[in-house]
Amino acid sequence: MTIEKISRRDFLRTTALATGVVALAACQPAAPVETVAQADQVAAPSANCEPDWNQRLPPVPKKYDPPVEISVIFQDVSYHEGMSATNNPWYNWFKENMGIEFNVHWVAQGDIATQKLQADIAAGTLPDFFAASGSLLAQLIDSGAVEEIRELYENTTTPLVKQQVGYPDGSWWNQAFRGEGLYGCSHSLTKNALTGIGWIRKDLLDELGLEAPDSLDGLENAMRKMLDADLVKTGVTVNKELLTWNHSIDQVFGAYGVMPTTWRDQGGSLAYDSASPGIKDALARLNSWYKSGILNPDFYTMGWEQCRAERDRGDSAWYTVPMWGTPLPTVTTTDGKTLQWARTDVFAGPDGQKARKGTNPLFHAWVFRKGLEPVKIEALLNQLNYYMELEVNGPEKYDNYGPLWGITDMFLEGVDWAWTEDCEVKQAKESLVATGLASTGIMFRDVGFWHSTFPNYQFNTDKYLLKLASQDPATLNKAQKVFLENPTPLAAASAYEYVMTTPELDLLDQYMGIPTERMATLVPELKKMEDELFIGIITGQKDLAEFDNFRDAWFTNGGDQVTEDVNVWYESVK
Amino acid sequence: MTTDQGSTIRARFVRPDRYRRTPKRPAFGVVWQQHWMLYAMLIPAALSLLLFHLYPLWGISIAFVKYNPVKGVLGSPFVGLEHFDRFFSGRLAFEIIRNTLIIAIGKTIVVQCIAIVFALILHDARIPILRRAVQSATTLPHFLSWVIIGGIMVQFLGSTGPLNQAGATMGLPRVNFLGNRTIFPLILILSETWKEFGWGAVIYLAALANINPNLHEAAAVDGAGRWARLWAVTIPGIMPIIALMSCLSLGGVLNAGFEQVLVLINSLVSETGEILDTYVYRVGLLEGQFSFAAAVGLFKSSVGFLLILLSYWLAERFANYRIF
Repeated sequence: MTIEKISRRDFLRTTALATGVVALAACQPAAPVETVAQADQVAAPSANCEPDWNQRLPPVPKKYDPPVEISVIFQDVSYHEGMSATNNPWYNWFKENMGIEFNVHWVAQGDIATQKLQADIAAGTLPDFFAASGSLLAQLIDSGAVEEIRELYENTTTPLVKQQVGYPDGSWWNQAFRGEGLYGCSHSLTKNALTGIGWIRKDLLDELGLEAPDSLDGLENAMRKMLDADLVKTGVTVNKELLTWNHSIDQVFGAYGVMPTTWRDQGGSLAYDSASPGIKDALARLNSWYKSGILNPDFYTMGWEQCRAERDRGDSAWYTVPMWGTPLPTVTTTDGKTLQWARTDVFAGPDGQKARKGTNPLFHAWVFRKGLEPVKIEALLNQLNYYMELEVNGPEKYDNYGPLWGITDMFLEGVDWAWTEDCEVKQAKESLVATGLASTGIMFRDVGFWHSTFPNYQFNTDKYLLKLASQDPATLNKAQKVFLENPTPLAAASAYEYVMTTPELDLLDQYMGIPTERMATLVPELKKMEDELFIGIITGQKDLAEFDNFRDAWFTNGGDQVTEDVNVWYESVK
Repeated sequence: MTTDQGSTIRARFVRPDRYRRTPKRPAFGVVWQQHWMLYAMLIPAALSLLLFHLYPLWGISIAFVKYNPVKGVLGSPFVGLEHFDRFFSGRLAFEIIRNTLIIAIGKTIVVQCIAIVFALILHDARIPILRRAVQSATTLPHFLSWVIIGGIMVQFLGSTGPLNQAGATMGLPRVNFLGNRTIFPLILILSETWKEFGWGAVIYLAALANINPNLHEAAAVDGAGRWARLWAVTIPGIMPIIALMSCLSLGGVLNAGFEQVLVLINSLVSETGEILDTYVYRVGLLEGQFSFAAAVGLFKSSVGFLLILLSYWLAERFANYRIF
């Protein structure tokens, strides 16, 4: 049909039809929403079996009627069939029992979440409640984008909360204070939550008749023999970020008494360790490893996923993960290989030095959008009160083992655990044991405040688990037994115990201040320069001698200003 | 020409084409009455342009202030060209602009050339099924995202990937394709070419189909072989399109391929791989330096705008192509 042939009637008829179609589409019933009943079905109790423990939940601090609606960021995770982010037992529990209804601001995590949050800041469309750290937190506070909450915080949170999070004297709280004003709830990491623990292929050591190495030389020797015998494709799995929470090589640097990316006291002031001369020796060692195939030739392209795939395939023989990533002692790969993993102690260097990158308790602060009604802030703080009571006192006071399970915190039948045919308790098919990552891909995430809201969270739960393991099994109830049947949490607890009992090995970043404006501008570029040089030297694309130039360049490109700002903070807290 | 005396006299001094009477433009009311449906259909597009392309232009003012999200653009302190000054006086400005130009110009030239050669070969293919199959296969990568292609490339070009394994069987040393800063821009250009040459050839195939077959027949009668006909008939026949596409591609010369670089870049090659778009993404969205990132983005957009104007002028000059 040509344009000339469109009559007024044709046009009006077409327009009316199009409008009708749009209207019909708009008016159709919304997609069926899973009801609370559906979610509850999953957790329905079994008819014939009776628990031999008296599980309870802590009393509700306060119920809000009418309910308060709070927009938060949800993580992009899987849910059980019939459940969703806004319809699962945990979400519904807070809605029905505390009158807190969390609305989805958006769903994302990791880098995507960072980008979305930055876009929200730029556009002034922040969620009601969210987490921020470092320069982002400083930017939010300084621009007046978040609420001052000191009075509400001090009046609402319980003494238990204040005690467990070390308020207000814990070093991690300084990031949330501006003078007398408090602009967020500091969320410190559980102690050593990100400290890497080394794992080596025990089956290969046994095959070659080797002992587990305790020095860098020993590790190198073992790796070379495994490579020569063609038992692995590469020796050590390394993340492209070199020093990060997974597949890190911090122990190699620690063996030379240095730790890149940390600020450490040298003669009364803080100095950036990446520019320390000792780094050069560690880089030379890593370069020799790269040349001999101990490091994957493409490691500079490998992030968390690729590293995990490499070691899970059995292509490498040593790696590090935090305690919550502890591998099962025996793992079968998809192609039928059996891998046995054993924990390694921190390796000693040529001079006997040994160290690892410890985890600072500084993590992030939970902040409240400027203009958020005080009742909503209070409701969230009451949620924190509730979580704290459950996590600190759950197993002993309420017979509730949710804190041991992690992530979900409520230990629900049908979701976390299920009955066997002979009325024993077993891990539910799709549940997640957070301490051991025995996951089948279904993960629930906390909404509002996260679980593990205090530094001793993991330490306490692992201590409890190890205590159960040392008891006579006949004295344990059915719920307690299930934790001991799964070897992963116990292995994780044992590995964590090693970390917690060797604090002298931790090289910690001693700078815990708020980045100044010029630091926020300069540090990313300096870090980029550092990454390029370190990876360049390790891969042999840059000469080791360039490290000396880097030290000078680091200072002349803004490092001296950053050092000055860091030490201004250091002087203020000494 | 009219017959009255005045007009005859004027005709001596005025060129005949200018003397032609311009038809009177109909009044807007008449046009509206005749074509109101067309104008009505234009409204959504105009609104979309207004809302999503013109209104956001206000946001570029962020580049001239020290942006405070709470106070907004108007409440943030004005800093003039401070962010531009910081970018151009920084150590990365030259490197990033150089990378952007090398990668983008390289891509433009190589993709165009390969697309033309491919179109010429395909046009002369004698088996229709084979021709269609090859065209479909080469067009397909255009529709794949760089996330997928990037994953394939990391595997393919890795140290233990098929390319290095093939090289090893011939006794060649291992090459870190994705970790060599000299090779990396070439990898970007070649992978872009692999993805886009099939799609780019479509327009040349259409141009080839429009060449009058009589010209080929006449040339054949005159004794021209295939090679001679290619140079004397085919290439001159598509030369206006080649000129047009070359001119228009100038407008996108600062678009070096954000997604592709983001997926493939790593610390070893950022010296030759970081481009303006990835830099803006990094400092803006990841580091939250909104004003600085906006300034760098504005610089890129301003140069891009000038290049677009230049490209349209060249397109009109050399290919007689006009938009307005």
